[in-house]
Amino acid sequence: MPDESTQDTLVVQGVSKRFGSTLAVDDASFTVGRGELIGIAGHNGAGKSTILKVVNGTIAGDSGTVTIGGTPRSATDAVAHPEHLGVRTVYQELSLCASLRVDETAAIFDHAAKGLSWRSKAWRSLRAVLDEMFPGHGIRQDATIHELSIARRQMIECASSFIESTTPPRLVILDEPTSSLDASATASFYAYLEKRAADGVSVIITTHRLQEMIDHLSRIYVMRDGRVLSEQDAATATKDSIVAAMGLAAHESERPVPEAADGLPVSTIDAPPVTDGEVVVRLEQQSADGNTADFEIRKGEIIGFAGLEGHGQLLALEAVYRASARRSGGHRSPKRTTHHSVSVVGDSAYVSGDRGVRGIFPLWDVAANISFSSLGKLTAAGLIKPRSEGALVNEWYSRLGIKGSPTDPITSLSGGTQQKALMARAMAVGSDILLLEDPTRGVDQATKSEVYDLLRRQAAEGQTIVWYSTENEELRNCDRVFVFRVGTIVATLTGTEATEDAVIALSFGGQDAELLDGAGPLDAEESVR
Amino acid sequence: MTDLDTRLKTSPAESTKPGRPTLGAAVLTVLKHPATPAFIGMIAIWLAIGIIAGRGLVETISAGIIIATFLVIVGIGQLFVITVGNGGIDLSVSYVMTLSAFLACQIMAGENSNIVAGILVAVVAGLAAGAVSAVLIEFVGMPPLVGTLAVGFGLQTITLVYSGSVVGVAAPALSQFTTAQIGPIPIFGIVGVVIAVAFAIILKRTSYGRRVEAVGQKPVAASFANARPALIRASAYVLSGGMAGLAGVLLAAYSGGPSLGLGSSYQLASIAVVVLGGSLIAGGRGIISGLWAGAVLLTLLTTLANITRLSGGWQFIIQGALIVIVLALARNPMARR
Amino acid sequence: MTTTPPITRERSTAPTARERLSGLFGPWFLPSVAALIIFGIMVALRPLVASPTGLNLVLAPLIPLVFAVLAQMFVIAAGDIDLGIGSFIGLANVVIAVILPSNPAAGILFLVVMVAAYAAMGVLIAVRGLPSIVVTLGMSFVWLGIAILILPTPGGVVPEGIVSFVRFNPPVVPGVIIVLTIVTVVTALFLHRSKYGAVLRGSGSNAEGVRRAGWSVIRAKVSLYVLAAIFGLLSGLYLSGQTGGGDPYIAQSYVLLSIAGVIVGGGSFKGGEVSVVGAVAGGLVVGLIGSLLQFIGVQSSFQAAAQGLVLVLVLVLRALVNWIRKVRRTL
Repeated sequence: MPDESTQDTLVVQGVSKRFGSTLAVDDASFTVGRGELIGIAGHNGAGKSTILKVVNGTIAGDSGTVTIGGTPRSATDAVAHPEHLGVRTVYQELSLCASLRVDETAAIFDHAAKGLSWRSKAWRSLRAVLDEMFPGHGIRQDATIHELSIARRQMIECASSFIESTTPPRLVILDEPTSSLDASATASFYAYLEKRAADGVSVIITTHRLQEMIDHLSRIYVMRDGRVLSEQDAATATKDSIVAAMGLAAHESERPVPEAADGLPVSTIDAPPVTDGEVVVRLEQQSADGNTADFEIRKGEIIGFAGLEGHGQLLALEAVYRASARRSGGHRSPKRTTHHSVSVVGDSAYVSGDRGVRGIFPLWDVAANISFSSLGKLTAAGLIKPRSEGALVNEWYSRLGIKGSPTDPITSLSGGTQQKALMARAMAVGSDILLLEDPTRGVDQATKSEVYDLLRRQAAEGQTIVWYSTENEELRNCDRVFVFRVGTIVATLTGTEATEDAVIALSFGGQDAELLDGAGPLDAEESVR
Repeated sequence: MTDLDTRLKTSPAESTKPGRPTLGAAVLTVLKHPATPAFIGMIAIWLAIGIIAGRGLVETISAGIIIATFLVIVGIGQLFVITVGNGGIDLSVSYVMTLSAFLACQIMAGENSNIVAGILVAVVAGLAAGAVSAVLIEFVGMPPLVGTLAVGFGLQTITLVYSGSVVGVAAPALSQFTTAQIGPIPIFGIVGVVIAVAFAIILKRTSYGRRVEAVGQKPVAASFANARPALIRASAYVLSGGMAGLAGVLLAAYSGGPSLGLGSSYQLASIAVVVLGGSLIAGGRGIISGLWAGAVLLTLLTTLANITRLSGGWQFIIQGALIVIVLALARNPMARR
Repeated sequence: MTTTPPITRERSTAPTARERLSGLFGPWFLPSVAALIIFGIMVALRPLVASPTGLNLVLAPLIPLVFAVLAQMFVIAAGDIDLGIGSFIGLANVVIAVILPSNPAAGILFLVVMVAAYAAMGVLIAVRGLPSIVVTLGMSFVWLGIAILILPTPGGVVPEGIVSFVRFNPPVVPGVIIVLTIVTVVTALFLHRSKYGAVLRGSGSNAEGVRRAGWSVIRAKVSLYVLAAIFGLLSGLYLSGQTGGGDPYIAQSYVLLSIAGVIVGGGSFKGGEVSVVGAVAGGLVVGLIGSLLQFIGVQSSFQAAAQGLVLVLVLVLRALVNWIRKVRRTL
């Protein structure tokens, strides 16, 4: 490689990756020059994480090439140890070992630290980075990782990706590196990146803090629906221009608008929101500035929970489930989360979006998966009546238009059909409230339209629907949309106000972007365990 | 509709895999059923005994079914504990059996009129032991291994101290019951089959059983579908204790009276029959028909080893290796884990 | 090495008193104090215990247990549990008492194969994702069966060399103290002061993180199982030397005792969280409780329960502390 100094560090050409029916990355191409800091922006599910995982070889793409430091490889090849290519990645979920000391942690990353004084060698190389990246980090060599705050763990994680080790870093990929860092730490972090960039290290960053990208990076790629749609020069880009690119891009594309598919006019929702029904869910919100506000959900409404992923929607939705009574019309004591006190009248059924972990029972067939939540009304003398179970399953097969046989193993179905089965399970209960956790994630367009239809029918029959969605365009199916930011509801959009652009703009915050500081991955931290 | 009906009409224990109406497919379904290897193994060893030792086949199987019944009863409890998942395992069964054997025999004191009281005490003692395990595991948060082992050692000590002061005798009628035969058919063996069928129905055809399997597959998914994983798991430990208690008193009746080593071989064997029967060790799928076949297989294996004068060492090796080999070869339909 | 640059000091949260305390008193501290207290009680009951001979008499039977605890510690560090260690030690004892005297080469080869079998077990558990509890329980019957085949009833004669090596007791410092010190220091240096030791502990606590940093997680698992096997053999060696004969069932009680020792010594079932000094102290605590009960004339049948009870108590206390911390945090 004679002209390494002028060569691009990374060239991505025509990479695609499909998960089931979802095209997560669609013919994406971009380049990162030597010593360049670039950002990748995009709303939920734009394909940022996927493209970066194909770049570092964690997952194999379906097509395209990835050229790192002038050496091309097919994107269909996975790479076991990308660090040998000089590619380092810091993931959002931390990869530190809780029981190790700081210097031992450094040594695990620093393969060059050997010999009797391996700990101090490794600590010296980590501290060299830490002191510059986060002056006054206050991390001691002999601290154990589990004693450290999330912010300090994130500092260690970021710093260890710049340790020289045996193969010095050439390309560092950082996924939301500053989510737990405060303003001064963030500033010094970017100053360090700029300094390393001058030495020739290239960096790719994804973050929802758009201002950071504009202030510190050289170029920003905007992704949407798996495609790299625009490339903006940070010098001329503004927050508005990026937000606009993320949202408006949809209207430039030839993708069919979902409602067009089933011939229903979009304006169905223009009917005035239900205001006279009884209140079934009440969210009392205490925001950081001490204000309290009440949000009420009435019988028969369809309510959307929107915002960036991990900003408290899931927490609120789960709280509604936990606060629900066991039987229709019943009461139960309110449930508290960090920001909300939730009280509910009536029972609820929950449709999980994370089908693999929180939804399906993989060893069973579709019939057993559908009837599971309704077994109470299918039993006589303690035994499940096969005829009633069969009838219930068949009823929901036809109501939801599920294809195939009820005796097929659930794992043999496509993601969309599995999702329908989960909807059937929850709807068959006939509960007062239906809670949906991003039910259309990874589901094809046709199924989505069917789901929207179905939800409107259920609401018309008097079921209250609370719907957490990461796909902003589908929020137009809701009567009202609550937009979440940093754990609290910051806006309520009614009917036609709930446009994609409005949701995106609100979820990134108008002028008060500082609110996002120290937000951290809220849901991930509190609900996963 | 017809599809679903055929599925639901097959016997409960066999209903985990759907059946298609064609004959070839039906044969394939039977062959692919997780319990099939256990049945094949059982028959192979049964025939081997006939060929090697020249013993009557009927006589062999009827003796085998009687002795296997104790293992079936303990094994069912173990199966529920393993099926609720989360690393579930009950290592206290052998100690529960021994203690309840002593308790019941003291109460029965050789009198037929005390049979009901004796059995009741044995079962209640087992349920109580299981409840202690359940509290330690689900509410204190101990790993199942440690919780049940700790309870087991506690019971062992109680047994050691307590057994020194009492001499109990099983009620003669109960002893006769465990060995009685109608013609060539052992009554107690039939009891074992009936118990197995009853629990197969509980596991596959009641909402409790469905919850047991659901919690074992995906506890989080179950909790979002109106099941309470901690309670379901706790109930399995209680059930296992009760079953071990019942097995203990019956075994004492069969062998004439309690002894300190009464339950010891059942600790491994109860796990072995679950694994052999095609249930998943990680939980989520329990196969009681397979467990029954596995219990008979293991019993006949011991018979075969005795006939061929195989030393006790070999019997241990075969039992232990069987578990590890079956585990190593078994398919895991749950990709994760 | 320990000098902090001025820049660190400006915002460095100086370690609080509590942090400093927990830094000084690692997980090994409480079990060590507990071991000393129990020993103190024994001395108070029988002052002769404090003499070199008495010390040897009291501590010598605990050496094999301490080795068993260390073996269990490596498996627990891997996030697993070993239910076969008792039978494995019994088999080692039988091999040393029966095969080694008549055919030293075959005996040594046998012991090597036993270590290799543990390595294979580690691979099986890691690659197939099997529950270690059931695999090791199954294997424990294999070890026991082999031991019974070799030696159906207790017997055999341990080679004189091993007996005198194990019972070596120099005049001034009791041999047991020397052995305990060497073993603790060497093992602690490896697990807590060597780089691969850190990788091993890390692989137990966050295997994915260690893999991402470029290490082989399977190799780490196998290393831990091999170490467990080696310490199992050492335990068997000391048992053999002390008893002079072989008995397949000799170490059955070590299964629970070794787990108890690791947990009492500050280890956690989460994996990666173990302390060598803690485990040694934990082993001594569990063992000394047995001796103490024997001292005050408690029936041997109660001893097993008392030792098991210690394990339960420690875990209940720990659950309680965690629960209090959680409640405090939410308040």
